[in-house]
Amino acid sequence: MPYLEIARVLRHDCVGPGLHEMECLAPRIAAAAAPGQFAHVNVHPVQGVSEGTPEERALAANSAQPLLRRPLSIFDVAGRRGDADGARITFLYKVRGAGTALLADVRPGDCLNIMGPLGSGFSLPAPVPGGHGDHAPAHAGATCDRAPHALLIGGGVGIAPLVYLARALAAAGCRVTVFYGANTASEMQAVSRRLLTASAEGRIEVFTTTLDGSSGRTGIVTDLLTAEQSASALERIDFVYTCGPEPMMASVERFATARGIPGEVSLETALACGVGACLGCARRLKANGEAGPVYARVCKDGPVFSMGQVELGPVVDREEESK
Amino acid sequence: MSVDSVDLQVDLGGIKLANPVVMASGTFGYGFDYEGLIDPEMVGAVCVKGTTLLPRAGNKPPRIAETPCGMLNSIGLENPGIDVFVRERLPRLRERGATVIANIAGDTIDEYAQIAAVLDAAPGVAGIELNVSCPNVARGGMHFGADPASVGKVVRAVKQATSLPVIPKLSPNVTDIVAIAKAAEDAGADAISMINTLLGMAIDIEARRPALGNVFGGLSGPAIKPIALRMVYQVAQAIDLPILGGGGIVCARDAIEFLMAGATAVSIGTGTFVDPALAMDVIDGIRDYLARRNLSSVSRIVGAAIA
Repeated sequence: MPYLEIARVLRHDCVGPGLHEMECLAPRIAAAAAPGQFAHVNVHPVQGVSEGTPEERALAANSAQPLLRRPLSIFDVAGRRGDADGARITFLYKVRGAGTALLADVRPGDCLNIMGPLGSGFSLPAPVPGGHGDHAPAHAGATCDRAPHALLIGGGVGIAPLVYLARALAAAGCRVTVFYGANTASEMQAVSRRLLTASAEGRIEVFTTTLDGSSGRTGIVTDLLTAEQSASALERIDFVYTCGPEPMMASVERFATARGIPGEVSLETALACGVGACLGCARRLKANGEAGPVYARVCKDGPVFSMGQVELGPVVDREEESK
Repeated sequence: MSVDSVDLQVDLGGIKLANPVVMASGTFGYGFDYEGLIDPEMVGAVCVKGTTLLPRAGNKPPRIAETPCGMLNSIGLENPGIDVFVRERLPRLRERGATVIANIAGDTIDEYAQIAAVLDAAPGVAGIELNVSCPNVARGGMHFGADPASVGKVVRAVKQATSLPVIPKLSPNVTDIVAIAKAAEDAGADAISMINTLLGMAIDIEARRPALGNVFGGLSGPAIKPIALRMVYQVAQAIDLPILGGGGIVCARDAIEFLMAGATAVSIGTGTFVDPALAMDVIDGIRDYLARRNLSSVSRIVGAAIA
């Protein structure tokens, strides 16, 4: 069930070219949010209660331009339980149009109307039988199960939901490898801050690529799928998660399919309702039904889909964002 | 006057509504997508997603595009068909005590009648809204709604198939909406719902193609409110039927304008996407407005702006 919260913005920083990290006090949404879910954010700050007479406030319209909310994937949550400050939710988003440009002007202390958590998040892999090694029989016994090894591949701001996922997987005892690609190192600070801390504890191994070579390997993130430096990290992968440009996710899907590794992709698209009511965010599934094409709702059935479930296409630049 | 003593009940062509706020078809699913924020029994009525005789897959994406103070949609009546609706969606709404207005669309007049006959036998339906105005399907829909004689035929056929109140939803994409409304009234309609979306389009200048997969779509949101209001005002003066009026309502003030233009009840659609709790705010806002002016019931302001 989604919650609607008037969330105070606690922190809102520019963390790279066009990139913003925003932390909001949203206890109910934060407490319920699972990795891969998103929040639907009205980018117009809520008017203060002191403005206008009660009747004026009761009758007043919301700002209508731009009209629709913006879906933002959940980058992190903090202060989940017993925190005196209340649970907080953090977004990492890129300015891509009028909506996110307005959002970037929102200041700490302002309040935003946020609905969430929404959508179906990532599934967490089950313990893997086979503690004796690669060729152990499946019935080797539950006592010697090894921790699952998850590979997370994020391109650009598509890394946002994977950061929360990486931390959740590590906390659940998984071995986590993250491949993260960006244009340039200055885009990577918000992600580095969160993942490198965990990485230092040995739970999460991070490999990076940048187009300009300013951090990690020079090139695109999917180069790491064949690079020698990451070869050891590609051993015994049990599950693959990816979020980013669709051609990138299509490459990751081919890689996983070729190796018979299950995985999930997280899509982004423009949304209207965000809760599955309007059917505006339909995405065609690969499998046809009796009546021809079958569509899934990205907002409700997704944004996370099993690999192979949806046709991944070239990115259509929609002018307006989401994650 | 205290807010508690204001009477918000209205009668929409034989359908008793606890308050005059109705969720518009296609924006509220089958009543439970916003559960916990707006529950279906809290509003005057829920017009559920448009239903056809057989399942429909809907249109090719992209299906929505944001436009100035509004949005375009070309969903294409994606729905599981009338049998699934009656078997799987309706019982839950009935259990919750929601006032359900089924919204139906057909490719032919006979299909409208067939669907209405199924609904007539299904417990839990308070009335039938006839979609004779969908701009997003190749046949039926708006093609019926553009011609007074066709609207009359659909209404007559459905009235013969059911004893439930019948409410045709009119298209604004016509030369004279008053003529269509009169035809519906003459054919025995119990109320009029208006307006459906305005046909429009947007172009993606980077891709150099229409923004919608279906090229054209229906425009909704605050951008269309002045047009919708004008049409309600015109139709209210020309017919004696109650009107379910809406188009771009995003606050209580908008809703009160529609009531004063002659609507007996108001429908909220795209506004719910902007503010999921909007319907509740509109109900409260109407009640407050009436209480502050010592007006005992909604009926006191219905048509108040008509000279």
